Amino acid sequence: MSNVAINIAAEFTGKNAFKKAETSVDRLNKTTKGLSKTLTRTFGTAAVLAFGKASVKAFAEDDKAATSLGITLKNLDLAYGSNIGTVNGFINRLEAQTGVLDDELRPAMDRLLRATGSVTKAQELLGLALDVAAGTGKSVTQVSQSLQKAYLGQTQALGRLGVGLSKAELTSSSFEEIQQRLTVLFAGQASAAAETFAGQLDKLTIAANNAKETIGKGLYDGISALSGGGATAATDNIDKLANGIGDTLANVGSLINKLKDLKPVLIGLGIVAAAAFLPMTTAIVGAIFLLGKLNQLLDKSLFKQGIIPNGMGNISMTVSSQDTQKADAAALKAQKAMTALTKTQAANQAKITKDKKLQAAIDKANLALNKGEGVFDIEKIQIAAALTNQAQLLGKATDAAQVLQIANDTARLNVKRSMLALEEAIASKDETAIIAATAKLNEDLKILNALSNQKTQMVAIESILKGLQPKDLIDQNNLDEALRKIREMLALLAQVKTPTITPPAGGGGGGGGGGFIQTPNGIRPTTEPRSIAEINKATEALGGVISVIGENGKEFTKLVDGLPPVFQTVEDAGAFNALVNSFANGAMNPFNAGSFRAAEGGSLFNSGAVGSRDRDININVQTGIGDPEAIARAIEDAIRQSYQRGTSSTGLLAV
Amino acid sequence: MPTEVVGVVALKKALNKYAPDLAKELTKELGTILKPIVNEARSFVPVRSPMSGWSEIDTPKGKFPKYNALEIRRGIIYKTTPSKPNRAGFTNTIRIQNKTMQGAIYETAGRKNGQGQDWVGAKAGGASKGVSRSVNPYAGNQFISNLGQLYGSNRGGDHRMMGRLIFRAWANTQGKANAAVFKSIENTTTKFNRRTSTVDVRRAA
Repeated sequence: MSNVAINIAAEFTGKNAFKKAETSVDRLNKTTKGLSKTLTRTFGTAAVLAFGKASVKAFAEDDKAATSLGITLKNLDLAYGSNIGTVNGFINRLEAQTGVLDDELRPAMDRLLRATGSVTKAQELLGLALDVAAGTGKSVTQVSQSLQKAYLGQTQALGRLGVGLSKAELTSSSFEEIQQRLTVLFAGQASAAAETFAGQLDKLTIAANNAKETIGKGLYDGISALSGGGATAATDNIDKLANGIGDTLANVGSLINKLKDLKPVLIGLGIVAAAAFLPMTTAIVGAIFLLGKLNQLLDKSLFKQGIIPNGMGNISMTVSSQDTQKADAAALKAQKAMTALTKTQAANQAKITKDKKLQAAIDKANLALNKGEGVFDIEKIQIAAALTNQAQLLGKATDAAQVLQIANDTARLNVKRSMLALEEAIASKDETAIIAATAKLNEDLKILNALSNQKTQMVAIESILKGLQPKDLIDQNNLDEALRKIREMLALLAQVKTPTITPPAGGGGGGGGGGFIQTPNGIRPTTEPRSIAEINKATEALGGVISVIGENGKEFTKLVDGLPPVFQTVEDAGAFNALVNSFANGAMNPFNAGSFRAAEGGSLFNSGAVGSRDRDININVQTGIGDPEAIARAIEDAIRQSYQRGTSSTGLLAV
Repeated sequence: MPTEVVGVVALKKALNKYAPDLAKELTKELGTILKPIVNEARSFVPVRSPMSGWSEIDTPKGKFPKYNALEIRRGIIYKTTPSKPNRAGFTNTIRIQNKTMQGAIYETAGRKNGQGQDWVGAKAGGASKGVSRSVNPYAGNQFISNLGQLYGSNRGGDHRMMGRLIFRAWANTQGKANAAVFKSIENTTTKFNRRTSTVDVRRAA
């Protein structure tokens, strides 16, 4: 249960702690009884003296305030006739009515007079100030200051009083309108407050203060008159009066001491007197006792009937004063805290400035580093070198353990490379690149994890090694593809129907067309060779896709635009002619080939649909770059295998 | 600061014994004055916790209490019955209370030290409760700044009348409620005196 509360009314009921304290004080009082008697005498005198001085001072201050108000009236040219007396009288009446001290009223009136320059207006505003002060709980001084400022055009102070007017209302309204509004809002507050118990107490205080002032005035007048007038003389006389009272009390003490010597005589006189007046004394004491007893019985009887004797009486209310020492200590503590806070803030500010400078230097350095990094990325270079080294080691590996170790190292290097790639992707803020780099890193991490756990997975190792090997070093697929093409070509060659050469019959003489005869220069057809015109005609019948023999019998003239004359002589075209004839006779099927060499001329030409006996087949073997031996071995192996399978007749190609 | 009033306890006793109707009337009048203040103070309680970490789930007492607006509102009340005397021997007769722990924290945090307690950190030795042992050196400051401004009188450096709920509502009355309370007591006293005097006179006649 917390103890946060606003205690509106409290009453001292007194409990054990206070009883103990009271007992202790009583004991202390007994112990210091003799001292207290002496002090009582001294302080009694001092108290009289202090009261006298305070009274005179109160009168002096009151007189000063009244005089000041009078001077203000004079300065404002308002001190005509009995105006000063009227104003002072107004203040006195106001004081009596509202319970507000003239010590507050006079300065307030003074202030309002200076602002308005009118006694009537100042009185009106003073009345309003009293109402507002009673309504808001602010002091009359504060409210009158605010009203003075508002009259002169500054309404902010009035707004701060919390009178219920908004800032817009205060700024947009004239003072008369504000005054009217306030008069309505706080009507009758001062008189109502004066009628309360607290107000009555205030009035009592005022009466006491006025009495003090009056006494002070009497003292001042009396003592001044005794000393011939003047304040200094009056003060001297008060001191003399105090000394006189002190001496008197001392003389009384001496008198009591003297009486001790006469004690036996006095006792004797007392006994005689008591004996003489005994009956009368006894009767008086008895009567007093009986009356007291009777009164007690009467009160008891009334209380039993539900009546409180003499009623409840007036409930007295007093406001407890502020603990000045505590307040001073708190103020001092707050001041110290504020000083400490200011120092801390200054230190923090200095630190922030220093940090900013340092940050600027770091930014500059980072910029320079980034520039350098772009030129020379040592980390990437190191990783690439390490991967190359792993590739070399892989070539030298002799057993599975070494391969596994290489796979491990390679996987780590791949992870590192992926991390760098991811960092770069993050720095570039490219979402696609980040996703791709993350996936790659995860993949590498999976592999590394598998290897680290010593669960050798051949698939993982294979993928690592596959990534490590240059793709174009040994490419079995490409080699197989090349061999397949070779086989196709060989199959095509096998399908080519070469003309059947039949030795001519002896003396047969010119049989039908198409026969051959043996000549000293070799075999030749039995039919006469065709003329150039016939050959050209046959060529045109093929579609005119190629050049034909020119009229000079030496050159080809191009029949199609854009085709250069390739053959230089008729002899060069010998093989071609034979080829054309083969096509014409339907002995050869056209197919696409890359390059052909004329058997006779050795010149190269490009052509579309042709066939040939003598030809070079260039095969692109995508392997063994930088290693001719490996290429040669690969081709040789392929051809050998082809020969062994029976798809190649010789097993060797022209080299 | 409370106003010291002499005789209110005796008055209430007498009212209860000799004029119960006046006692009820006084209680009703005081309620009319104090209930709006309580309602206003309840309206100042934020529905949601002013800090995300000060969650709204209740926990057993004894630990740092969790924020619960409903409970805080329920804990703001007024009382017109005399309390037990405090150590100084004073009995509080009329008061407005903020009873819950959460409410007290929200009400008063930063009243004594607006920047939070001095920070020593979690690793500092000693058992002093007047220092912050959070790992965050600015925890106290952040907590107080999130709770908002304190309202009320800070006259003479005395912060005991400052707060965010009941003290704020009390400050908003600008002393009118205080005056109204005493006026009510005074009126009741007058009525009671008149009534007892009347009885006395009638009997005498």
